Amino acid sequence: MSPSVDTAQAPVLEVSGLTVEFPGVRALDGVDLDIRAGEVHALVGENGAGKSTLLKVLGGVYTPSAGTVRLRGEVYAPRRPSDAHAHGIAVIYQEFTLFPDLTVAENVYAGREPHSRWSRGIRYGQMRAGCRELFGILGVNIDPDARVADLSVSEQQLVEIAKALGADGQVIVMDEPTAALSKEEVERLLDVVRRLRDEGRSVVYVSHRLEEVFAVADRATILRDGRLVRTLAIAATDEDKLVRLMVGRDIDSVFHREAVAEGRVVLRLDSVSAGRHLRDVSLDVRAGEVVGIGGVAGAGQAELTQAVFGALPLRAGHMELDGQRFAPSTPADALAAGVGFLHEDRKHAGILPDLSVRQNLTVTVLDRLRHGFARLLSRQAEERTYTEYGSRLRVRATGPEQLISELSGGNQQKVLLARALAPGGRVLVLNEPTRGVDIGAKAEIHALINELTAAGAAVIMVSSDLPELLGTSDRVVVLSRGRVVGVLEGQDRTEENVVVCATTGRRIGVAA
Amino acid sequence: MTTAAPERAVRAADPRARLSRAIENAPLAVPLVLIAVVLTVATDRFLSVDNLTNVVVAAGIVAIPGLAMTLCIAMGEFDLSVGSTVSLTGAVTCTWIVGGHPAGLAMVVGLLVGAAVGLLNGLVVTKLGVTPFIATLATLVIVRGVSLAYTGGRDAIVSSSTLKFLAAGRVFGVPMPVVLTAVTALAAWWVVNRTRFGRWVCAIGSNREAARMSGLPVDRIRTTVYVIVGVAGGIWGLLISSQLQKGSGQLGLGFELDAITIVVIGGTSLLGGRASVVGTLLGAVLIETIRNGLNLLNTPPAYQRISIGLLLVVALTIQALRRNAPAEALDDV
Repeated sequence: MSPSVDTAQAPVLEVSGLTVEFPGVRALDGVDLDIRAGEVHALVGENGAGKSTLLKVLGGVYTPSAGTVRLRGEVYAPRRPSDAHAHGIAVIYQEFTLFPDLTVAENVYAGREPHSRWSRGIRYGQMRAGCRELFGILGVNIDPDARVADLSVSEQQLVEIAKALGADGQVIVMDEPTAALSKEEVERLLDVVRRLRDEGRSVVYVSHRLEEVFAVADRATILRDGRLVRTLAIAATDEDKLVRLMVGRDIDSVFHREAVAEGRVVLRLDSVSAGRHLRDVSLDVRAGEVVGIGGVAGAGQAELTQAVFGALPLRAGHMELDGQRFAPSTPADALAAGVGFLHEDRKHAGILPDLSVRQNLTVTVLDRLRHGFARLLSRQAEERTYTEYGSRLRVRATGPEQLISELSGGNQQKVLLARALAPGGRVLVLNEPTRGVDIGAKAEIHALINELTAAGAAVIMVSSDLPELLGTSDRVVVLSRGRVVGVLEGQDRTEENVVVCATTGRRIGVAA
Repeated sequence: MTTAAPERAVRAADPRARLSRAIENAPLAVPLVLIAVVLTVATDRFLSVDNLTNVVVAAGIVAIPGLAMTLCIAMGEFDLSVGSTVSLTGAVTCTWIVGGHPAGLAMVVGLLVGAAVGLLNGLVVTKLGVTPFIATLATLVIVRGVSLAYTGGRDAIVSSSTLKFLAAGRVFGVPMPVVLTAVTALAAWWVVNRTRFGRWVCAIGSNREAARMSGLPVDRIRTTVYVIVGVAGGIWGLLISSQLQKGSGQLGLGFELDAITIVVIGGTSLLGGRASVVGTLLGAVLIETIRNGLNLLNTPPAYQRISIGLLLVVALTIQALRRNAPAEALDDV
């Protein structure tokens, strides 16, 4: 621990020598940590550094193999999640734990519904009033009677936080809370975090986005490969230093988009409408070009990419690939035409959890890997594919036979990227290619995109991470309510312009 | 990273993978051996050639639909209608034979009926979007009704040497059902481990949405699997009718549970994503050994049901324990 840290204040939560072992893996190795009252404590580190494991120990999901946790001086050894709740520790995981079919109020009070002593009937009025009060504290306006499934991701996030507050959480732990939020929503969330701190609660804040860490945290603890690197005061450090501590080596955190000579148009969208949102979108993507798609969450990005991939039928308009009519009616058609696709939802529409890394990587190209009269799968060809793409993306696995569900999120993402590349990679449709991915892997993925475009690939990239969107694309197309409101090139390609277009719908670089 | 690194990693992982594959079927082999030893000591007939042949033939007969069901369960779905398919196939084949058609033709027609039932299941599940449980439950009732209506409630008794050969014949001294099972098992192992189709089935069972977004023809594969189960149910029906020399609307009652039970006891997860062909075979042998043993010990049939039910609970508990232990712990480390 850094000696520069002020130790006068007594910690609320004190972790010492925490070790967590799984068969074959030591996920945490003798980690020390102290969380004070009224502080925002950032927990940073690359994927696989042990952050999620630490959170799950605090949340009562994992039992440590060694070490202790003390809560206000007393030993805290939760055996199940309900123990954590009872001690006022609320962990908000990346994957929400809400009931989508229940209302907001029912979720906020899940497990501790106020009820009448005589009839055992739930007091809905009291729940609604309590919700409004909690949302008041958070400075947001969400209808307590809305069904959670109908809320946006950011609203669901806020419901999770309200639930933690309502349960009188004194230590609130947030795992990548902004991963799916737009810039405006992130600002609102950071305000909420500051409010929580000002109320004297402690917030443990896990994020890959360092600008958020610097915007909101008082101290930061850096983990690497399951070990504590250091705890330091945010005021006494800067981004470069933190990145160096996280990765243990120097990394250029600024994206370099190498300019590529303009190629011919590979993919053309002409007045395409699809799904519920997407209206009248026209777009050219050239060989060697990265077209970034920006906008607030749900502005039509998913519809656009799925339409190109044949997963969503067009309602109007048409597409061309290499000057030929391109009308994929299924993803298989798009794959056959050489379009690779990365879904934004890794868990639900990406990984095949019961299958190995090799099997996950090759699932879209099995046709190419069959041989002989009986068209059987060739194990050698599959392993060659794994070696080729797996090593190019530096997938960290014990080997091709490891189950993908055993890898960290960032490594799963690399396998899925390899899957998207395997069909040939002339046209790549990448949704949030670095969501939930650590900074080292992020740089590798960006370098790979450069490499692919240098070889002539045409890339459409959706990203809600503004520096990434601007840094890795040649042209940024901003969507708002399903329409193109901004085409930002050259000098116009600024964060401000993206935000203005996305949030106000004002047009830049597009005829009205 | 050097290019040599992944290869080194492969070698390092291999012994562990091989070991875990070797002990995968241990939960089945151990009780099987124990029961065999107990029966050998407790009865004087268990270890006779005739009795063991009976066990193996019975296991083989249930293994054929079980292997098809393995695919279906690996796909994350299951088919409750096979018992009714058994009845309808046997009824159609026997009625055709009674009506003077050649037995070979009658058997082919029977199998086509099985395939048709499978196709119906597949289309209702994929095109109408009905969940497999409900869709195949409906088919179970409908097909049973069709079978009863078709036979008019009477047994179609046949004496066809061709049909009889299916269950009672021998090829080079090996009983026909065992030959059929061996062929089916090899084919199933091949499909699961070496073909694109088998990989796709497991991919769909593991994450259907991801499979769809990977360009897999999900509905076509699902339909095909139901047709395979239908045909396997048809083969089962022919074998049963061959054994009994009759077709009837009453045959095959509750058989669907036998087929599903041996798959689950064999270790194929009901959640889908993985298929164990060897496990299903062992599951079939285990169940038939228990049945045989209880018969030899003169236990009333009701106790057979109870013991197989208990075995199912034990198998599912083992599955649940395995699932909750290391795999989940490694998630998101």
